[in-house]
Amino acid sequence: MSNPCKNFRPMISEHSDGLLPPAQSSQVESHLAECASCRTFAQEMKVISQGVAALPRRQTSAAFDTVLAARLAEAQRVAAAKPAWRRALDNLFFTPQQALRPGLAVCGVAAAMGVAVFFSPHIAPPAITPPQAQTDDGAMVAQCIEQHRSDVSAQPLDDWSAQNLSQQFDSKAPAAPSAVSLSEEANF
Amino acid sequence: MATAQVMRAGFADSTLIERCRRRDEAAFAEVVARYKNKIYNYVCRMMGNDDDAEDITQEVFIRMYQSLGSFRQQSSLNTWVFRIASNLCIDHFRRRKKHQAIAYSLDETDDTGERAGPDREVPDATYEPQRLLASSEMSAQIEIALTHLPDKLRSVVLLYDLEEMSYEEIARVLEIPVGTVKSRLFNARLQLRKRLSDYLNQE
Repeated sequence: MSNPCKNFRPMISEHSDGLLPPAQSSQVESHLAECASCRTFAQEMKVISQGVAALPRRQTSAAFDTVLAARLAEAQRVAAAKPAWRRALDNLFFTPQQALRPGLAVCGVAAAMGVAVFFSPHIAPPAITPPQAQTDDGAMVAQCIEQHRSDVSAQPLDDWSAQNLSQQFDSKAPAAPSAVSLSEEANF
Repeated sequence: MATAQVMRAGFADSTLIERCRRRDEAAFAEVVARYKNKIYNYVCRMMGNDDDAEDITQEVFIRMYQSLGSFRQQSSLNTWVFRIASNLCIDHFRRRKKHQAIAYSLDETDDTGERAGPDREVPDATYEPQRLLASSEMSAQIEIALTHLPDKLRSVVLLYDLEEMSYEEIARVLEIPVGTVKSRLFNARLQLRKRLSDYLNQE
């Protein structure tokens, strides 16, 4: 089967039902005029369609109505025995599958929202600059020294480093820790 | 004229439904009388046998009676009744498949000692001589071919060709898009053509 024929076949089926729009219908007709294979196909589609339509009609048995009446009465009796909430639910939903649908829909929406939140770009909170950051470095150093001094004042007197630092800052001399006098060194 | 007939039938249906809602037994009996053979005919072809068809047809009317309160007349009565029938047929197919699966897994052999399971040879009632004689040769061939169609394709071809529904009505009954109806109808006819190829070539 050639490619144009393959493309035309679904339209041919619809054309045989007389449901194709006029523009497509004329295309199909011009193709059918020149393609014997598709003409046979169209004929076969029509035979099948007419054959299904001509199937003999079946009739229910004579006892159908009587049995139905009995089954209806039984169904009504069972329905009456159900609690009110269950009867209301049965009225709302025809099948158990339908009853599940709203629950499934809610779960679906919740899952979609969860995924959306998980994959959404992270929005950083606005940066709050601490007030300390705006103070100058000298003030910060002085604060640290004050802190350190108060800490070491609580330490025992034999803490040489604390003593040394204290002396250094008191004299405001930028002396290195290694610059320890001989007399002080003798105290160790 | 045809439109006028449909309109008249539609109005009559809506009146009947209103009366049925008020638990008018005569109105419900009228609905049953109007639709029982149509539904039975469709269910028979869907199930491929008459044994369950009457039971399912009765179940259609019981479901219908029970859910009259929830029917909002957004679709026609015809569409609604066929939708119930289609859903019940699908439920029945599922149950049947489940039962078959259980039976195959439980027993390796049946009562006669033959192997059970999908490979087992099952007598096909569709080829019985009485059945072939009862209808014309063409109808018999088509009925056989229909039983071999997948359920989804069979329902569309039956609703379209046998029940003369439009694409849109079928879409509402089966709750599928119109495009799917068209493609299923085409595929159903292709499969029927393949099955009936010997017979069609003789024509």
